[in-house]
Amino acid sequence: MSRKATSILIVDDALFMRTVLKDILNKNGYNVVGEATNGIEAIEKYQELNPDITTMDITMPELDGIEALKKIIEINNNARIIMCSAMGQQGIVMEAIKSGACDFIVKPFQPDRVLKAIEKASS
Amino acid sequence: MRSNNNEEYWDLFFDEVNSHLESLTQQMQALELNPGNLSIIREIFRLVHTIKGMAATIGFNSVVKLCHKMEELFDFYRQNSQPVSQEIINCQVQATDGLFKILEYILANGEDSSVCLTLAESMSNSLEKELNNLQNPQTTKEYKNKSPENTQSKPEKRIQIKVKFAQDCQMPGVRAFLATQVLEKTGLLLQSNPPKDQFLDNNIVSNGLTAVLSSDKSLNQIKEGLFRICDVIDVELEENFSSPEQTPPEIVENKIINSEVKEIYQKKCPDYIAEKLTPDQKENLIKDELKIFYIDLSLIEEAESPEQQFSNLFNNINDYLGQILDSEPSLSVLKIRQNSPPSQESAKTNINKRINEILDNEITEFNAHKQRYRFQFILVIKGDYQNILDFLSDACELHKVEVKEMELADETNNASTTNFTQINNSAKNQENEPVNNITLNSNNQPTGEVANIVKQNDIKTSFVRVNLASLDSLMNSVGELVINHNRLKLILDETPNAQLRSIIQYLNQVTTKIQQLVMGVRMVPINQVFNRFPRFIRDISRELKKDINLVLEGEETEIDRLMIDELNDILIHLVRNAMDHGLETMNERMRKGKSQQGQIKMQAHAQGNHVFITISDDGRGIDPEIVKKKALAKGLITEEEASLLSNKEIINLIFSSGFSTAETVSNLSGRGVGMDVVKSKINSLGGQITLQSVIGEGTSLKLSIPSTISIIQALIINIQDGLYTIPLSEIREIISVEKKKQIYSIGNCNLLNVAGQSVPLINLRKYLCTDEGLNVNDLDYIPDNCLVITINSDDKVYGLIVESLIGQQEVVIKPISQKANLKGLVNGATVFGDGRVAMILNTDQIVRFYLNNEDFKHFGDLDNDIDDLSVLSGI
Amino acid sequence: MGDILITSNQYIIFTLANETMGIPISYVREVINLNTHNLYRIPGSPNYFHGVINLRGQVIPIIDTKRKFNFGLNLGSVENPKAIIIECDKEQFGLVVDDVEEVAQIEESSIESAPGNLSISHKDRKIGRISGKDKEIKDRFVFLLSKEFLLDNPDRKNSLMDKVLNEVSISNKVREKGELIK
Repeated sequence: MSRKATSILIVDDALFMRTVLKDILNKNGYNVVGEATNGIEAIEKYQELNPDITTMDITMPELDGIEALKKIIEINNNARIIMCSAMGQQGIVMEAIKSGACDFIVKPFQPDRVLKAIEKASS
Repeated sequence: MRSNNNEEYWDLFFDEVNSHLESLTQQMQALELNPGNLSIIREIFRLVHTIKGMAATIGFNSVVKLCHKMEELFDFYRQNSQPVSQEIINCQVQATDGLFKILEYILANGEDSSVCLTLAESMSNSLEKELNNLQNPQTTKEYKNKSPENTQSKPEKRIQIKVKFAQDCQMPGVRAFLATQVLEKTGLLLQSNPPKDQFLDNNIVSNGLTAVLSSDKSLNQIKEGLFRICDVIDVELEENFSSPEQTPPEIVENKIINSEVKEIYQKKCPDYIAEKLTPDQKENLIKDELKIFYIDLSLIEEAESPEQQFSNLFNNINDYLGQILDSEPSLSVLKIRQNSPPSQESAKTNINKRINEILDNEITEFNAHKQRYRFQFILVIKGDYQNILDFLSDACELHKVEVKEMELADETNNASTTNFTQINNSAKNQENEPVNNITLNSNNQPTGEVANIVKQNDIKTSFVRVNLASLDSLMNSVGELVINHNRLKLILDETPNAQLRSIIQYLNQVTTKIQQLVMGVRMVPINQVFNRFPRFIRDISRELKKDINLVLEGEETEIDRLMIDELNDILIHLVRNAMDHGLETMNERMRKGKSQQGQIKMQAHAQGNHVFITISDDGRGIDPEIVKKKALAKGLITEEEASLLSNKEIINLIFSSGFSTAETVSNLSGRGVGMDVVKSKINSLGGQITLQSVIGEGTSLKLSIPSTISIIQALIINIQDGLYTIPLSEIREIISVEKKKQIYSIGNCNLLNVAGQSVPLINLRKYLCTDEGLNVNDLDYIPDNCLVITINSDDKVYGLIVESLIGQQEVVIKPISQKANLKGLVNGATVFGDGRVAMILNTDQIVRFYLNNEDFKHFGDLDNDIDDLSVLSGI
Repeated sequence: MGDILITSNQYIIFTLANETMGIPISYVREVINLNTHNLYRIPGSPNYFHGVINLRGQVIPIIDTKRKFNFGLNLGSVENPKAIIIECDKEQFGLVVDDVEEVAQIEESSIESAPGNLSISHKDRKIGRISGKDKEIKDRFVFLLSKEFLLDNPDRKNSLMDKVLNEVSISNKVREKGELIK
């Protein structure tokens, strides 16, 4: 699978975090196809864009990342979702993994870690 | 006599068995608190089983006999998963003691004798009785036939898996969880360590994950799956076959018998190896035309003269295959061993056979024996691992070989400093586990060398003491190194020379690394002391007929190992006091409406350069009235003085020499060692002890001990052109003071107002510089603008007047003979890079001298008096 | 001749305020030139401690031997004082001396206790005779310092002072005695 073709949906309620993540991904040749600011929007955008990979923040208004994850997995059992967590959220991340997330990255984002996770998820 | 034949193994045996017994004791204590915990039961079973196997091998039948019975009992619990009853734990604790005794006897008398056997038998009998009691109410259980292998109908491969995560891995627990998910997809996960329910504890998981998987997938598939997880940097797989006669079909062609091939990626090549490479080689390595491999091979047991084979192999490899950069054993060692092969060859083979009989085909071998058949080396070649394997299988009678490709290290990687000694260390620890294969991968060990040494130190033998001495001198030498290195840096500043600069920078790295390493090695967790207490309390509480619950906290707090021995005596004494005098009898507690069970709490935590240890009880507390009466009776204070003292000060009188509060002297405390001795001992360690007590609620003693006694952070100050240092940990704050505005004097005392509190000022000049002129207390002697360093001493604040600050740095403490440091005003001296010497001030002692000179007989009065005075002077 | 025997009988002979003294070579680690600028005072030390020096990273207290022996301050100091670094009971000290003369062999048989009428305090006080190398050079008598004397427990300050005074008077008398023998 060519790297350029990997399409990514970024879900995060903070504009700043989305921008940081988008910059990292765009600079490395990934195609950020959309952004969502809460869980409900995430599910809508996922259905609309059908991205290869979704990055999912955990704490968000309206519907949190875990619920959104579960809904998306219901829609597509093979959806590749990478959770974005803050430090110290092991328990929640663990739950996310159990619910079908394929990986996680920890804020503050370190570009190489983000890229590695995306790379592994897209292979 | 059989045991005499094996005498060469005795050291090894006792070393190892002692460490097992230590662990066994600890596990028994853990079990007592948690009698239904299956993992503890399993661990105990494993330990006893291991000891049994070792004893059988060396021929100590009494040990075997006793262990066998202990094991049987725990096997029962292991199978039935029911909580272990208190009686049985008692029995087992006694049996463990019995093992200690028997082994002690054997060590002292040089043989296993009928005495031991009688002891073993009597203990075995009581265990047997317990076992029968257990079994009778139920149908008799069949043991040993329920191992997981047999429940598996298909002869599937069982794969041992070790996964290592990157050092900076975030949430390793989740990574481990991901790994188990991957494994569960490829087969049946039989076991994981740490177990899944502990994944949320990052400390446990950060060492990596080991697991046993039953799967028919190829190793490569599994590995690929695992490497797909982020932060997985190392995966080691090893196949075991449930039935030994089944040989994997794919290696029938080869001469490799029962071999496993493992490739490990991302191994870093140690620096010292990298340095042996020629620039040409390095370039080729980067171009990938050359590769470095780490090879660990062992020969089949029947192999004749392994030394000969290895040295031939060594030469052949160098002639035909590539270049050996380093090997263990080295060629010269092989040559020496070749000329004097170890005797008693046949005895060893016998040993192995016996082990096989005893341990139901679980192969355990003695380290020394195993080492003889093992050869590790680092090879640089043009080719791939297949070339190496082909070559090796032709060249010698291989039993097992492990080939890892190595990367050239980047200099910052700490993991790259592994060397063979370290690898061997880890081998020694791993030897404890009766696994079929001992695979070595130094990076897989918890934290490399330090952890190993710490672990080995759990073995309480005199060997450690020897080590301590050499550690000490090592530490001294490191101190020298640091100082000389600093000197070198100063010279460098004067003569800039690029080449010299780079050398010194490298030296800087090495020095820092060595220093950290040595410091690290010296630091051990305080549980080495704390661990002794559950048993101590258990024994003593029985004697005292008090029900006592011990709570330990902060056992992981690290402290210089030199402190450990010193601390042990002190803590034993304090805990004893608490048990004896602090806690009431059960009846008394009932009457007071307290729970019958008394509590003793031992807490430790580190802060700055100090470790704080608190020992508290919920007992009767110290009654100041009683203390006062005693002190008066003993003439420690006069009535007049007593009336001036606050309750807290009175309580602190128990630290005066010749004081004992116990109404009746039991056989535990009051052995003549008073609290005064404890206090002076703590002071001599550079520590302090404070006491708090509430009548009816309990007493708490707080010790503050420097966590290390050789290198500290210190503030460097200047007083009359002399340099002095004050340990940073003692300093509260530094205040710039204008004499006229801020300092006032009352009587003979200069005071500074710090946040509404009057702080007595000590002019360091008086104590440090002039022998004469003892009256520099004058305001006149304080410079117009000066600095005041505030410190705590005995819970009170004092200000030290200094002229200027020079800086702050890490200093190496050099002791000064007590003969020269008669008043103890300094804790030692330190040497700076330019060769200058500065004294390290003992602020506590300076305060003490100050108080004596200022005629403050009772420390306590100071606070009150000054407060009053400050009111009077309107400040 | 056994080496051990030789060593045990060898002494470093030094001068201190016109006195000739000897110290067993087994205590001596080395002799250094003492640079008084590099002395650092130890606060609260007994007054006969000059301070400490940094000897290749080791911090070594230096004993002002003249003070310790109460030779008086008015004797002044020589231009290039030396320090004999000794090691006793695992601790190192430096003794300030005016000059180091030689390493001499003093036979056990030629060591004698100070005469009874002089021995008020120190049991271990000994006088040794260095045999002259040839007939031109006469025998010399030196006051031999013992370990016990050097590392006297400084806690007993008064008795120490007494002792020092006594030692000096003895030492002086010994010299007289030596001259008499000559």
